[in-house]
Amino acid sequence: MLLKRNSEKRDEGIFFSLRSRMIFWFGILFTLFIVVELTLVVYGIPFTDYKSFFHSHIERETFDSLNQIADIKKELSLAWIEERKSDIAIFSKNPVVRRNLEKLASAIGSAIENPENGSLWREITQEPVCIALAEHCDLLKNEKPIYEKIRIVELPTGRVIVSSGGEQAGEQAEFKQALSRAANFPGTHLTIVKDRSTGESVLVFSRRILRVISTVEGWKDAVVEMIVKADDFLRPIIHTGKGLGRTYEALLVDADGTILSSLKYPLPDGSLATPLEYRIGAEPARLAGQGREGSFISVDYRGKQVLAAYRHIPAAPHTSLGLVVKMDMAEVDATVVEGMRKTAIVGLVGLILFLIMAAMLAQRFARPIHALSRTAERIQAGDLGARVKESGGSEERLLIRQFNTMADALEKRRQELEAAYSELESFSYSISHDLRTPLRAIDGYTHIIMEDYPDVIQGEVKGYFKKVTLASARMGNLIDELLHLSVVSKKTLAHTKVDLSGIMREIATELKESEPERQVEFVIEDGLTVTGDKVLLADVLANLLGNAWKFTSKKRKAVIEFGTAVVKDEKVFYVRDNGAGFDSRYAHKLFQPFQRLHAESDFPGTGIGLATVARILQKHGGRVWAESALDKGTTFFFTVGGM
Amino acid sequence: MLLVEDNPADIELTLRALKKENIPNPVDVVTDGAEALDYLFGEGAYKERDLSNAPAVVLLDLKMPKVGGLEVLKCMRIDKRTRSQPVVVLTSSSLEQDLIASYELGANSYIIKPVDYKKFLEAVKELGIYWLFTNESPPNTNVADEQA
Repeated sequence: MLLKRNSEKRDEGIFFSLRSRMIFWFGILFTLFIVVELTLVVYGIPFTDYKSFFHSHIERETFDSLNQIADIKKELSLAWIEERKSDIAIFSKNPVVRRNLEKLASAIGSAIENPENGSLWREITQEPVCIALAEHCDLLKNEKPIYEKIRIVELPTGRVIVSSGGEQAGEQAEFKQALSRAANFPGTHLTIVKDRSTGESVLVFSRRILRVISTVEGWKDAVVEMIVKADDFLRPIIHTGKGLGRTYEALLVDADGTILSSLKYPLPDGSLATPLEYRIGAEPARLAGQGREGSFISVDYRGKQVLAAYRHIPAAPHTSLGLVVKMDMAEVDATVVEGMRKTAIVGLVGLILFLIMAAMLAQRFARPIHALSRTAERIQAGDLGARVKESGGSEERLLIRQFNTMADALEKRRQELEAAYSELESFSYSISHDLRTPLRAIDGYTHIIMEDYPDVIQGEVKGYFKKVTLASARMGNLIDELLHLSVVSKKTLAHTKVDLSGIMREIATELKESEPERQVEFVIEDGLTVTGDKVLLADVLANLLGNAWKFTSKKRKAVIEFGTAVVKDEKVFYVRDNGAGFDSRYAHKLFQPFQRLHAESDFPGTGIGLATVARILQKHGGRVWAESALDKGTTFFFTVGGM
Repeated sequence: MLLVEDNPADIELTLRALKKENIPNPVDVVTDGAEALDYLFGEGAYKERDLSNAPAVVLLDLKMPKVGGLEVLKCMRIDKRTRSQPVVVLTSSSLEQDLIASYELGANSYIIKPVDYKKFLEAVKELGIYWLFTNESPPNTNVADEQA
């Protein structure tokens, strides 16, 4: 529908239709609005801190999530550690355990003194209290499978007394640091070390059971160790839980920044960092290790920009852990870009819909206007009956109604004019035609009288009769010229190429032949052609040249010119003679019928010729005017419409 | 010669002109189109006219009461008896449409009556000499047709 209308309407040069203009302007405004908005939303204001809305928003959301996750993980970690602490505290405070250990005191003391004597330790293991202790450990381990090993170790030599892990009594226990901490400081201690036999990291919870201030030589303390595989802690708490996208990572470090958990990504050099060996220097881990808490944008161990939330986990005296939860800035950016794209698409769809709406609106408004212009065209082309059907709103209808009324008036006026004109035509024609017949009679009978009664009609009477014939001859001329004028007005123009120069030369030749004794010089410019009616234009030239011929009759050497000139940037033709000229005060009368500026006796003429000339040129869309001064000659200028 | 003309002045001038130029041929005059048709086809007042004695030329005016010149011309050209009859339209009208219509209806010549008496004389003389003497009239076929 829209397209069909498009082909109907015609553009004229740079005149744009209402629809195109509306679409154009609405489109521009909307697009401008969208572009500005999008730019602000997407890119922020460049060179300022105002970040793009999207980016800020998504950053904020990400930080919220990261913080949430970090807090949760911290809580879970602490809760889990508390559980372990409570397990170990209960065990170590158990009076049965203590008493049993005390009963073993002297035996253990001897064993310590003779370390190479393996049998001493074997004896200890036979002791019922030792068995009871061992059972206790086993029981606990079965109850709480999280523990890989539960054992009691003596200090200072660090030998195992009992263990659930299949170690023999008397074996040397590793994890010296865990032991010495527990021995020297109260409370439960956490030590994270690598088990050399398995290669895995373990969490060693250690607590003193007994301080032996007794008579037994050597043995000072009994420490309980509860050992958990690091993985069993890291996996459920650090490495699982609600994630945040592709690049999300949670990691645990100690106070130094040494990683406790394995890293998701390789290091910049491509190698994989080993837990408990590699130390992260990046800021988030460092701050977390130092015991600080917060969230910020920083750079991680890969050197990539990340959003990070870091927490402090005070696991145990002497053991501070740092938790870092982070996500790559690049992922945030990607999300922003995605958002941008979606917004752009929405914007585009909106724009298209908007434009369609604008087009339809414009079409609505344009319809009455188009109807008006089409009808105006039809009227101009000649169909005076064309009218516009009413449509549109009240203003449009009013306009249409006024237009139709105007068209009605136009049609009526045209009809009136046509009627008047044709009436005038037939009137002027029949007058000039019907006048001839009686005129012939007058002239005829006058002559007959003169012929038949030559004796009677003599002298003065004869003179009078002659005057009668002259007068009737003159009237005959007038009638002819009037007739000619009316014929010329009626005639429809032919459109051919007319060689004015050629016609002029022919007329000049005829004039010279008619009065060969006269000395007249003709200066005729060659090659002057126009488009028009050949017969009528020949008439014009004959008239003008005839006039020039007539009014130079008293000059001994007459010069008559025909050519072109430029008058006020316009190309015009002219016929110039050096004859009698006329008083230019009466120039306005020149082209009116019957107006003469000379006496009949000086220069005979009817006074209609120039009226005819003017009418013919007017029909061609041109005009004629004259310049002259008495005795200085005359120049007639004329144009022939579209030359 | 048959002169079909309604204006008495024009009739008198024409006849006088012919006489002046010593054209002896008889001239019949009818003053309107209806009378012209009666004359040409031997009807009405001219029932007794011998149609074999056709005029050498018909001088036909256009503007006439009752039946106009063009109408007469049309009737003449339809009827076989008068189809070849030489007709000279002699009229005051210089209207182009009259000119065109006359020739289309089969007029042999068209002459505009001059206002000037001298020119009028000249025109009548020329046409008289031409059509009565110079021109060869078509042979009389009237009688032959009727009998056939």
